[in-house]
Amino acid sequence: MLFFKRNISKLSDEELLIHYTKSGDSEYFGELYNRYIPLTYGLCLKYLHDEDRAQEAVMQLFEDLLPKMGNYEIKVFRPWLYRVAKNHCLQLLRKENKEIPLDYTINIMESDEFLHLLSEEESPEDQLKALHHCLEKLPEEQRTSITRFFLEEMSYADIVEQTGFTLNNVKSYIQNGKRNLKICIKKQAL
Amino acid sequence: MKLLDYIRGLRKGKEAHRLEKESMQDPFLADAMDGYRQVEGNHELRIEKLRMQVSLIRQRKESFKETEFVCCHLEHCRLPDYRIRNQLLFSVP
Repeated sequence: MLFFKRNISKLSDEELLIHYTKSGDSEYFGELYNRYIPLTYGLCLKYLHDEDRAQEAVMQLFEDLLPKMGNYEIKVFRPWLYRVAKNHCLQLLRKENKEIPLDYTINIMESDEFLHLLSEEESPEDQLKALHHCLEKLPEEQRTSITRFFLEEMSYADIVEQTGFTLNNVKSYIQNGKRNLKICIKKQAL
Repeated sequence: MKLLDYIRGLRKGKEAHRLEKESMQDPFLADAMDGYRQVEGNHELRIEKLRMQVSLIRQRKESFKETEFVCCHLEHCRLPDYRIRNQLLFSVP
């Protein structure tokens, strides 16, 4: 046990969970939760729009989970914590009767295949041809944002600086551009 | 690039692009990055405070468990010295 404790930071999420469930030693769960504080706090900021409330929500969640972890069957901790933390923040909003923002996050997650095609690495020639053909058909703002992000590997901030578009517009042009590209490439394949 | 660098404001260049691209397949990361972009503040300090709070709560829990163990042990040995037990119970940080 002492050997594991010395190397606690090297243990995987799932190993930490197992050790915590078996031993009840909160150091394991503390280490695990600490790893996800930057993600969990950022997530709470998104939904609660307030630093103090987000901080409180992250701590409240830790105190809620600490005595209950043994009751859950968790295969992979990361997506499990995402669902639990998001529900926790949404519940806080519901309690205050605040408007819950519509969330399209799940719907906009991209498949490996599509991102791979856009990075132009080892894609079949006919797919690349279709990609370039469809890129030309996109509205100019979408084409510019897609090209700079995926082909020139610029960050959102780089694109904002170079184009003068707002950050929200860049994200929206990329999102809509991807959707239009997918539709166009599918049509080309028929 | 690590998320902490992004939180610190390093949002240009290929490493920032890599993290943004990664977020297209990871809803947890995508939501967190949205949060940091939408709300301004000293997030690094907040994260540090949260880590300290987690550590403090955890240590309190462990101290309480140790105190409980000693109290149970005293009871088991039929040495109900309530002064000692109370002292132990209320000395939890």
